[in-house]
Amino acid sequence: MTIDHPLPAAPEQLEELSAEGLGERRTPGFIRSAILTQPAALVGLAVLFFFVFIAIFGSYLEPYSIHDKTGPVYAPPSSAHWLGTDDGGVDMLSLLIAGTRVSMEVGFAAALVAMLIGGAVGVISGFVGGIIDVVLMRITDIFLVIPDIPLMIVMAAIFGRSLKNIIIIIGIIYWTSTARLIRAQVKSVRERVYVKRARSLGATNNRLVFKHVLPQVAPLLIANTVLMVALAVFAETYITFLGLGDPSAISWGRLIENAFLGNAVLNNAWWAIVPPGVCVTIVILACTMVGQSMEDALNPRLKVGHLSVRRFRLRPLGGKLDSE
Amino acid sequence: MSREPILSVEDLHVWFDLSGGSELHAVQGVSFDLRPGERMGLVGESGCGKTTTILAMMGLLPSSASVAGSVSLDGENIMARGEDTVSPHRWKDIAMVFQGAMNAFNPVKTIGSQIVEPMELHGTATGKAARGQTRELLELVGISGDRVNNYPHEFSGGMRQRAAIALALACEPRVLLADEPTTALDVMVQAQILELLVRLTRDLGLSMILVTHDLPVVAQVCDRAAVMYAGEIVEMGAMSSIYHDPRHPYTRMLFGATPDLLGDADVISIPGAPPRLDREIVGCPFAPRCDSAFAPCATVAPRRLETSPGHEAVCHLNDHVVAKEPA
Amino acid sequence: MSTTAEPGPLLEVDDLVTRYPVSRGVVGTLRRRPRLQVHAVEGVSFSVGPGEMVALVGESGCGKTSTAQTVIRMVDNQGGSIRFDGRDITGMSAGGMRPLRREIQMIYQDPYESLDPRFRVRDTIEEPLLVHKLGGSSKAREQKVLEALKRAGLTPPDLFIDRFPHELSGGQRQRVAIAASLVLDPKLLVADEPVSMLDVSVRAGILSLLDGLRRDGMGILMITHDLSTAAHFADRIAVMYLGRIVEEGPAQEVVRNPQHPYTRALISVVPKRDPNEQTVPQILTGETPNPVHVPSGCRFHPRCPVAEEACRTIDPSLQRPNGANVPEHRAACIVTAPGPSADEVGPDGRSAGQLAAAAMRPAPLELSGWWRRAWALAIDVAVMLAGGVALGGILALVPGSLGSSLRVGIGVVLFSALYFTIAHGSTGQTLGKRALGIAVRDVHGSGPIGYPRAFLRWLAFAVCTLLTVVVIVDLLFPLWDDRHQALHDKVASSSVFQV
Repeated sequence: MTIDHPLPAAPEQLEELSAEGLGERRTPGFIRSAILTQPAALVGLAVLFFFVFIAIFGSYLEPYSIHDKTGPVYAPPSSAHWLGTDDGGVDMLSLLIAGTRVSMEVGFAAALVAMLIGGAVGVISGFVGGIIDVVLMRITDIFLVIPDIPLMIVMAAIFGRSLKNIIIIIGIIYWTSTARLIRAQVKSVRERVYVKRARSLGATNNRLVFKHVLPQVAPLLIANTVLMVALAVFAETYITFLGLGDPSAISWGRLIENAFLGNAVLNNAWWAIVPPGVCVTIVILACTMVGQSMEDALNPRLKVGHLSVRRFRLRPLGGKLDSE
Repeated sequence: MSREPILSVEDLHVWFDLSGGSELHAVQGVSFDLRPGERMGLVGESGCGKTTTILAMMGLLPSSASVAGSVSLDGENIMARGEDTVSPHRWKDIAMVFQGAMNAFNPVKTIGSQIVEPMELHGTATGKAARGQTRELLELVGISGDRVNNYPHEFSGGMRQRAAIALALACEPRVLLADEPTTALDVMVQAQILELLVRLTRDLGLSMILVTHDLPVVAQVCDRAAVMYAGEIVEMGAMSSIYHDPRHPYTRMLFGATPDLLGDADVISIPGAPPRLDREIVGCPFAPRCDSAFAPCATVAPRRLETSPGHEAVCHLNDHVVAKEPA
Repeated sequence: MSTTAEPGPLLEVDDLVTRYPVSRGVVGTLRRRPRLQVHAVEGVSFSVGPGEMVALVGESGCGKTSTAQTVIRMVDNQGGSIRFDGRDITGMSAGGMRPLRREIQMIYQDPYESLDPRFRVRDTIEEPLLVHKLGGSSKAREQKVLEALKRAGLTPPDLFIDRFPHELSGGQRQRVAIAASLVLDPKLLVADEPVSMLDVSVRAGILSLLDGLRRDGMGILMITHDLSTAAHFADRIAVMYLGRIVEEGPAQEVVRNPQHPYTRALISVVPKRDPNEQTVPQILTGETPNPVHVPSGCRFHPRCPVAEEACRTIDPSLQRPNGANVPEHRAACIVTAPGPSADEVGPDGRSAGQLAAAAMRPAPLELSGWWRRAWALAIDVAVMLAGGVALGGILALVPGSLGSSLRVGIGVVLFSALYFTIAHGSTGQTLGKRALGIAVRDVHGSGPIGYPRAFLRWLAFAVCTLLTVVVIVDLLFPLWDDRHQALHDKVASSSVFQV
């Protein structure tokens, strides 16, 4: 009669770990633990939460109205206006706070669009394979090849300038990398033994995709989406800077555009240009830190320095450490 | 075969740092001698510490490992100052064939260049001489010398394992550590590789430690065997001695769990699982699973006792033997 | 032999053939390399009855895993038949197989990979019930899950039911996988190397579990490379080599009285437990050949220690050997088991009759004279022009914006390219060449065509595709008309370009 002990032997796992490097055995919830244990990721998350908070509640925080002239034109930062005023005398800090909403909105929405399209294409392409895979991949190639700025110009010219269009454009440009990534992962998960086992049970494709494949792919998708937010925020900024943005929406890119159009440089008004740029940079950095730590968690081999010289330590004969 | 051991391991301990501050005591006081030309088997199941032991002997442990004890090659302790004292001997005196060695070749370099590499690195041969020696090595392990410029993917699994053995012999070591060399191979190819290893030890005077979980392989190929459990050697002695007169219940039960091709005896598994090595073990580590455990086993750790010349075991059942601790 | 009085075998496999195509890759396709196939399973017949464990034993490449996958219809077979419980399931559709999937279950080799790491034990074992919509209420399903856990030896079941796979040892995971197969109460279990990745001390437990299931009436087909395990636990053993069964019979008989040279060699090299009882190993040279290139005649003859001249041409079938002790013991070897019906098979696996028929085909004519070739070319050009103009005429009728002469031109080029592609595709013979009786080299025997011709083929194909796309796009989005001008005006006047 065999009775197996309920708890695994830790040495079994570590023997394999020490002998051949970290393997693919990851426990569910490791993403959460990866983020919560890495300081870079925590800082990134905190920063993102901060900006999201400002985006949602910003209108209550603006010290001055953003539509009225509340100070002299291009006034430098002072106790009354912390970040000075722009070429219309409007308080820069208020503008910055107002701009956060649009930039964050576009960033997240566009990343969501890209994730939805890319994820769907990747899953279908990877799972179904065959001719559908070939066709979808060729379509992906076509979209990859489209140059973004001319596309934006043409879209703006034909369909007009609005936030919705910008979100769509950014989504269209950026979904391809997600699709490729997800497709590769889905292809690999599809070959795993537990998926084959479920299929040999007679499970429908629906069940296989939603219960087995997607949960394995979701962490990668989320990590990718976080990085996509960074790209989308930056894209929105330069689209608007080029003059293709929504004329009625205030975003960080709009502020920079205004600053250039209003000759802020000639007036030495650095406070009109630098703060929005800094905000964009901080958001991108934050997204990258979170996204990178998630990717590191997904691929532990990235972290472990296998190429480093293995320097084991010596302990004096007969000496065991007190901590046991 | 001279009586002086070429390799002598004494009280080897290895600890691994675990996240969270604790340690895993993977190897707990391993001691054995290896004589020239001898083939010794290091047998055990997953997690028993056999691979860690030979990695420690080669100095190939990661920075999360701490090592204590001595590994003496010809009387000189190569562990004395860690990496500094090990590296001069690595590959030149003691070499290793790794687990999964067939997949350890660089796919974009030829086999020949990869065998020449350690020769040049360790300064044993260069240029034309190195290439010539590489050809000879390949012939020695049963690969045609003309294949020296082939890439790894052009070889079958068995041939790559032979190439891995040639790689280990590149600097003419005196001790060969083979970690599960035939585990992933078919039984016929396994027989070929084992025959090769036996031939090499005889013709080149190599000493070999064969690490495996497969008892019958050790029975077929090795002169002596050491059975490991929970980081320590629980029994060690000549092969026939261990088989016919096992002095540790784990050895006996391990044989009993191994099906024999022509045998009739029932095959019985060993209940339970090995103990966790990140905690202090009280008493005999095998006691919870042992079918002969009695009073002292749970509380008192058994001592290493020599039950007959050359045959030792760590078990309270042997306590009645004249309490002579082996040298 | 089956000792039960059940009416018939659970699984009957007859002359099963499974082949996988070998991918040629882009370069291979361009150069028209012959399509090769992996001859995984080449005529395998066996049966498994209820309460019986049959072991398919062999080294890698022998086809045992492919046989198992074909039997459970995860892979299509190219020949032979599979009968389950009396019903012919060869070629059955996925829908038809679904109810049968309850009765045939498979256990996989890798316990670390066969459980979804995100599913708890409860979810894994419950999944078959959900897939087949059985088990009633969730309470009833939980009962079944607990039952299955107990049957698989994981007691007390409450301790395991909510765990994740990473919290279990290898042996426990394999038991969970077995429990998941048991929950549907199958009749046949196919176990693919169920214990090869487990520790020795744990293997016996799993194998006894399977043995217990067998005694309860389940049929078990076990795939393994380990002869010792098969000898201990199986009722019958079938030894496979390169897609064929070379010896089969009761387990103990095959192992103690092997008749086929391959089996004899295998048994001699398997290490025994007793260091003093080691047999002299009969080590065969080389390794098992690639199943893509199967040797002619007897598959084993290149490595066989007792091969004779006849072995190169005769592909033996399973016969009762002279040295066998029981009638059910059969081996496929003309040296040790000569029998009445040995097939004469030549190279390429073609029988003598087929070889004779091939020899009677007329030898290809030599290409003769440039005059004939010139006439052939003229015919081809005429055909291309005529067909092209006709196609162009049809295209001119299709609404679109391109001019009609342009369309006729497109038609000619398109037709020519198609003609060129198709003609040189299969046999290399165009109408002109065929009309003048000019034979081309037999593609099957001459090897891949050269790069220049292959490149031309692909160029023609690309041109066809491009032109077709142009025509279709023009149909849907006019490429050249007044609307083009309007769009140009609109973009130029949009606010974007106003400074």
